[in-house]
Amino acid sequence: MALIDLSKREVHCKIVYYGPGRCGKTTNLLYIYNSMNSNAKGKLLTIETKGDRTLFFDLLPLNLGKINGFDIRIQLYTVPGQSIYEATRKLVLKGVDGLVFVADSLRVRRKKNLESLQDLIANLQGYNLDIHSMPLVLQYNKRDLASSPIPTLSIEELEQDLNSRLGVKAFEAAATKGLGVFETLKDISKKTVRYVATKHLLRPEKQMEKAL
Amino acid sequence: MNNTSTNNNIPEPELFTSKIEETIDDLFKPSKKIEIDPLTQEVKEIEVEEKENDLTIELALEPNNDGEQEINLKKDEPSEIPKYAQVHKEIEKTEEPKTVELEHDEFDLELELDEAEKEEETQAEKPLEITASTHPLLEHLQRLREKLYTIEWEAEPGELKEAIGIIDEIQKEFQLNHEVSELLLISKKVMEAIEKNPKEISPNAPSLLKIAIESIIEKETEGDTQRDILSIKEQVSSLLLENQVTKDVVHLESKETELEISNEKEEINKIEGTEAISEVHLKDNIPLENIEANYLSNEASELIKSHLDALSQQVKRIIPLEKVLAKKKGMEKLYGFQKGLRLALEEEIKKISDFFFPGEEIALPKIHYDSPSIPEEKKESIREKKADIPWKELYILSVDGVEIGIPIEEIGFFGKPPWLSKSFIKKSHIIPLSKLKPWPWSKLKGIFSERLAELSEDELKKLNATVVSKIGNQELPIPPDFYLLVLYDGQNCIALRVGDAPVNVKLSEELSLEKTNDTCFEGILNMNGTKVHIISAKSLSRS
Repeated sequence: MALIDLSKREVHCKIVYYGPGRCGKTTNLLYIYNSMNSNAKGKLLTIETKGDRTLFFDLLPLNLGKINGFDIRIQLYTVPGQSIYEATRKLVLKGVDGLVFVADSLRVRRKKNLESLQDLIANLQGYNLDIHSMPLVLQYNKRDLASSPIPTLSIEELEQDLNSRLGVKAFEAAATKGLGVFETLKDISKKTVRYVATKHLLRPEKQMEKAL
Repeated sequence: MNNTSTNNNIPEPELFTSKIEETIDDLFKPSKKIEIDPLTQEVKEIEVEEKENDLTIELALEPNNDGEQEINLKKDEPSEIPKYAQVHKEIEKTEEPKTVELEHDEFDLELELDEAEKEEETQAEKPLEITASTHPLLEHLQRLREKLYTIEWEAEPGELKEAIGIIDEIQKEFQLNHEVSELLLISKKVMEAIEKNPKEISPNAPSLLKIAIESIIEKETEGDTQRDILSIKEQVSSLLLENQVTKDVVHLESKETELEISNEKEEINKIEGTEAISEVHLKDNIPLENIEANYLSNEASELIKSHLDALSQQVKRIIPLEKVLAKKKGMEKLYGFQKGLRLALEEEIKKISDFFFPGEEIALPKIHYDSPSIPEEKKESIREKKADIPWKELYILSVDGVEIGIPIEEIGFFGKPPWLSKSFIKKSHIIPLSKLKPWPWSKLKGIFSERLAELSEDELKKLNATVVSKIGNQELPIPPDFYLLVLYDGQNCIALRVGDAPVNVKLSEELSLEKTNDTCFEGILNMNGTKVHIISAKSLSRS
């Protein structure tokens, strides 16, 4: 959940990288973590919690510093893609402000992409969130394999499968090489910050104006 | 502030977000070129390689000045086009001239043919390459590797079963060296654990299993592997242990379907403050039974045994302190703490030894109290040999290292003497029970217990207790802050002034009473190796 603390002047946004297993969500975070300037990034944490149940996810905090006196932080999360970690995915989605759906370009993963997107929609509904009203971008990962003999999906096929109803911005990427990684990050970060600011900052202001 | 709205606390959203977007553009960019190995997730810096590529572009395009300009212009442009697309174009440009040269330069073609011939020759000199067809074990391992690639995508039970089956076949059909055999066995156990409870195994498990099998294949085909099999084995084993030992790295509330992944600063700071994966806290009551641990290498086994020895040493160090504290009044809490510490260590030793060395007995240092005294009020049963004793419970005190037991049914009074008569009681040889009134107007009835409690007020007023200052040869020292014990058996009334509070011990019926010539004792009880001299009102009056 976005946290805007006017008294402490802090804004925190949560972006979740979602997608099927082995599609490259963690690779996105790894790339960002390893290639980004160290003054803006926190530690990349692979978190395993074992309480009543086990949860595994990655978290990378990014700090934009102070803007207008506000401390702006963006937290990037990944969920474990394998279907067995359904509960974890749902829990990590709690309070999400922005989403990156990472799709796998491998043809054999076509069905898994669709299943994962359906899973995302269903999990969001569990929190009364509508995928259409949330900041979301798609990332078609592993595009570097398109030129290899490995059967891959074309961009048209991916668009048809995943984006025909959503109609959101999609990025081609090869996360292992960093291609498309920062483009995706920048776009979703901007969308999310705008969404959070509009949702949380505009509202109290208008309320205050009304009150006056 | 210019960019804020009428209210100082709330920035104007449009300007505020624009500023944030500018910062995002400034900050969210790579400071160096890296590449991540898709299989191992290993990160490699490719700064140097990139420069080399740049050079190639320039050289390749040297004859064509227009082309060079075009590329340079594109490179300098702020990228509206995704980088991926740019790189693709660069690759196309670099590859094109090379192809033309190769097609048209006969000299180069000849060279290439020569090289191909040479290659064939050198290959012929090489020993026969080990392939799946020439090496049946390799065929199995390759099948296993295929399964693990599938499992890495999706850990489905069918695939796991098949992979386990392949390992079983390998173990049955092939004579493997110890190292490989152990690694396969551990891998199998991890697969079984994934199959049994996939959510409890780290998502890294399939990748790690894949690395393990790759290293086995390398070893089998090349006779050696660059990977450190021992380290891989330990990593795979740790997956198994993690599954058994409850790990609590970052505490997140996860009751019902709720997880409070708090975005609040405190939480994040807490998380940021932790180093990568870390901090393992062992929890109590970990079910470690039913787990085989025969995959331990000798080194690991020795290491664990040395840890167990170290733990036993700590237990040994705690015991004397615990014994001392058990005797001292006012040290109950500290005693309890020490005892808890010892028991916790013993429990850990037991768990670890049961887990890693089932069937082997790990000798634990035993605690023998010099006296069976236990400062807690709880009564404890002490089991010992056979025999018949007339008492069920004793109060035990330690007098100069000698344990003295008093039957509980004879103790009519125990406590600090009333301050009004303390001085009198300290000096007297005979104490009228009326001196035990806390206040002159208090009644005696109600002060006493056991048989004294059965007496009337008048009877109590008339009763005197004879003070015993010596038990056997032992003088009873009277410390300034002494306790008074009054023993009464219906006939004899004896008073004792003692330094320590006695402790209550429940007796087992199997205990035996040893006779003694010293008439001041009823006998000697052997309790858990400690001799307890029993006194009674009667035996003390006899002496």
